[in-house]
Amino acid sequence: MDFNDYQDNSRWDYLKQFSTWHHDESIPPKKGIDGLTYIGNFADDFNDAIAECKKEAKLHDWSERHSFDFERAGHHPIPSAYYQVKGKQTIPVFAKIVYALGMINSRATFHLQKPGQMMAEHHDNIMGRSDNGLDPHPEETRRFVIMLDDWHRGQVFHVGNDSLTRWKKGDCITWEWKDMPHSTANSGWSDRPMLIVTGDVTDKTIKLVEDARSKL
Amino acid sequence: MNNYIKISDEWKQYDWSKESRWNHLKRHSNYHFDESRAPVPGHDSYTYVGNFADDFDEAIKTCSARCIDFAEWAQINSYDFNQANVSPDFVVYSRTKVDDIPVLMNIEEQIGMHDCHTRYNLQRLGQTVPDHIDDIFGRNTPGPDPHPEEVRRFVIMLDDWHRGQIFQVGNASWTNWKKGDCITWEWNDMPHSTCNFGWADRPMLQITGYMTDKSRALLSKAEENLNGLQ
Repeated sequence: MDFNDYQDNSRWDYLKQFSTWHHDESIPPKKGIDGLTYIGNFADDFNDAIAECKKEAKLHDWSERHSFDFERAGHHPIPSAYYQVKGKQTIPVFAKIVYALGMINSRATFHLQKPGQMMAEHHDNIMGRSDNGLDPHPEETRRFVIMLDDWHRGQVFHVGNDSLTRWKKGDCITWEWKDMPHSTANSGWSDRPMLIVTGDVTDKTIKLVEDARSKL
Repeated sequence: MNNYIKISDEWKQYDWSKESRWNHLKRHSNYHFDESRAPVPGHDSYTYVGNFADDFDEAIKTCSARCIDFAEWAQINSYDFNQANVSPDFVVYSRTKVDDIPVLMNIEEQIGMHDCHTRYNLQRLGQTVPDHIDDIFGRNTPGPDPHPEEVRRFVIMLDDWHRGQIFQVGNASWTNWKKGDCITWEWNDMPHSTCNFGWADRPMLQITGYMTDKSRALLSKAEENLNGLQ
């Protein structure tokens, strides 16, 4: 399959084949195992950083990648997903978080989901998989999400059969990116700003995640 | 004609492109609107009523084929959409009457309200009903409804939950439901929203009507069960 041909191929089916998750919606989620892992809280004053990123954030055509899947689900037009701006690991308040996560080659993306926007269920494709093969070492890469504002009604982050709502500013989660389908939506009236940090794990990162799981 | 249907047409006298429908309805609510508080099952979120499982497959096929997009909902909240910098040009769900569908009318009978307004509600991928408070009586005056407790709304899920589907009431989130699961909430007070950002349709039955002794008994039993959980 030409993985870049999103019009004629199901990206959902393609990425699902690499997942080891059961995809059985009747099985209750287990935190940290097949749901999300709560890492901790990195609360800070994010207001200036949010304001700066909002000015630069552009509407991202993420949903276009799943146009075949949207058509198959009978939905048209494709819903708007989010706004984003990449390369924000240098903003001091974000740099502190990136440092605390201890990864190398970290990329921090500011992600803003406005009312009515949603990101349909998907598996991440961090490695790109241009060779159509399995990632040799998916465990070497990790993605963290940090909420930059308190939760507002109507906002949700699904991971597998698990749901994250009622978060606090600074709350940080991670999940098994290759295995776990996830999705986000904003059915409220407030913007939902978020930071996504992706990088190559170090011993420090591995310990951070293991310690978090041991507390679940 | 059902009284609330007749009355509910009166919202049309407002120009919701110039006035916040959210603020208009919020002032009638007794809810705290504090998003930092943990939800409490029952009056502070939703009440799980029970399960009315049946074979809904044919009913879903029939209703899904004939349901009509409800684009008007976003339009009647257009001021709020504009405030949030969101275009109101989207469909929140599709719906149809179910008077000719015995398996669905059977649920209406079991709940036991009178003068019911019962609709099949299909939310597809990409559709959302943003946070709102119900307006069953229409409220053509600024005052509260004289007896909101006389009317109640129940929803029954007609299929098992699929990932990406959510029904929020206050600070509570309802997911992982089973086919036939039924909830209700304090419609006059509780903000709520629904969204389908998964790949499967979310068929639901919505029953609104006037309470009877039978439906009050059903609700009382459900509330007793909630108390047992607390």
